[in-house]
Amino acid sequence: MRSRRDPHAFEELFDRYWPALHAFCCARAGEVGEDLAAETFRVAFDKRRRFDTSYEDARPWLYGISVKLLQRHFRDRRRREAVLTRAAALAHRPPDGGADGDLEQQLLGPQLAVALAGLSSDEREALLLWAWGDLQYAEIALALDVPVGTVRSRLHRARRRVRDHLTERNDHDHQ
Amino acid sequence: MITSERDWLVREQPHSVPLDPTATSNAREALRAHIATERRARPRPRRRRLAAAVVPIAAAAAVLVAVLVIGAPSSHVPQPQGAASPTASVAAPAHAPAHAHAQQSVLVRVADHVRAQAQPAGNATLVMRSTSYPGKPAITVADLYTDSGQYFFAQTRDALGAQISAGHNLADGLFGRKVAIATDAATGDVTADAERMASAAAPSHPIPRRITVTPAMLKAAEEKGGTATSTGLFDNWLWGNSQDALIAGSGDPQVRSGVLRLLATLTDVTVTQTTTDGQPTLTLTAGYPAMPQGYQEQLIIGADTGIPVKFLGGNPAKPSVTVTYDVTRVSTGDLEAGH
Repeated sequence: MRSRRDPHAFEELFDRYWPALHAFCCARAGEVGEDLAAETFRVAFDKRRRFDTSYEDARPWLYGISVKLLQRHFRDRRRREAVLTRAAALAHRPPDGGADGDLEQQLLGPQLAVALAGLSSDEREALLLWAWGDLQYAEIALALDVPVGTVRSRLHRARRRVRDHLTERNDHDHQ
Repeated sequence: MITSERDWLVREQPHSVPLDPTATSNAREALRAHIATERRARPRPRRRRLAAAVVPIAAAAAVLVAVLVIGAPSSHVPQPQGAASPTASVAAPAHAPAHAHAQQSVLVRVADHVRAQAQPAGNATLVMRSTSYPGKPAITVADLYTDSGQYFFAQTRDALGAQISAGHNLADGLFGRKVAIATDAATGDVTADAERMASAAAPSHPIPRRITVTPAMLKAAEEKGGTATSTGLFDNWLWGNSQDALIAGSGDPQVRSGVLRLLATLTDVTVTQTTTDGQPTLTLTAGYPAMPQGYQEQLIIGADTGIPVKFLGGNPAKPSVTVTYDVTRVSTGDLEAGH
């Protein structure tokens, strides 16, 4: 990867992957995704010396950065909303682990929200990197920094959940 | 009907924020600014000192090296690596920009002229690339694009031989794809090739020629100080990718001819006859809508050869980056042998 040694050439990395990263981040976070995609490249530039040049494809590395930024974004928003909620003495929010998912699922739309309901955030990340990031299992493992076996089990469950949803929907349509 | 879960997920992927040229350019500019900031904040003195020490030796060696200069301009003298990049700015236009159609005709005429030029000797194109930011010394690096699609990079020309010998080919197919499209465009259907070139980075996500500008897009663009247009996105990508092809294929008259034909399809690019360092040149200027308002890029090419000479980007009155290209044809064998 030339950009590791040549900062100017890092722009080529931007040109190559900006459309895909922009689409991925905006699908996840709406308009804020645009800023997160841009931030991905700034972070990647700062960390470029840590990139393993034996990898031919920079996508897993870039998507991995995007995922971390998205997770931080949703975590921060959840915190802010929790503060506002408490301040306004509004209704009690259920303390379930899917709170960040609530926010994200609003952006995903009703169909995806139903299909992905019940998945852990780890499973959701693996699934969306597979489907929207077009990454293979080994690449997802690189992006999320987990063993391939872990990715396999997360995707097995996530894909089965989506397939169940499609089956249910299909049955419903035929009734 | 049950479809595959992946197909379904892809179909359901929200696309509420379309890719537009303003966002793209803003993000690219932010990255450039970030890179420039890092250069100022965290210089690497050890490497620079080493480079400085190597320069006199390398420069002396470079004088001895037989280099095959591309094309016609006999006055073109290869710059030794590490030498200061030319600082003379582009001379004032010889005449005011003509009508868009006439400008395109100029490019097509040069493209036809270049296409008839003989393939130069050597088996690779060496581009000594000097990048400078305002108030900072230029940084020169060596890019080597072989005719077989390999790409080697080194801080200096002399260091390229070791990279070739070690097989450090850094090509990943992208520049080769752009060069191939440009080659096709030299004689083929330039309209279709323009679409291929605009989408060369991600052919599976083709860039549409026209996008529908929604009120939300307009509002978002205005908040960022720009205006959304229906054609800006396509023109932006065609302009950028064509330049990449021109750099990587600068040693091949067919590639240069194809790029000029592709650029001639961009009606929002102006062409001006100029003089750069005493040589006749053409300055191609891309501004709004291919670029965001207040930002423009200029590509300066040899008037007779189409060989890239210089690139300037930023505020029209004050470029934030200047890149100078010194293009020569070489033999990889000579480089490996230290010649």
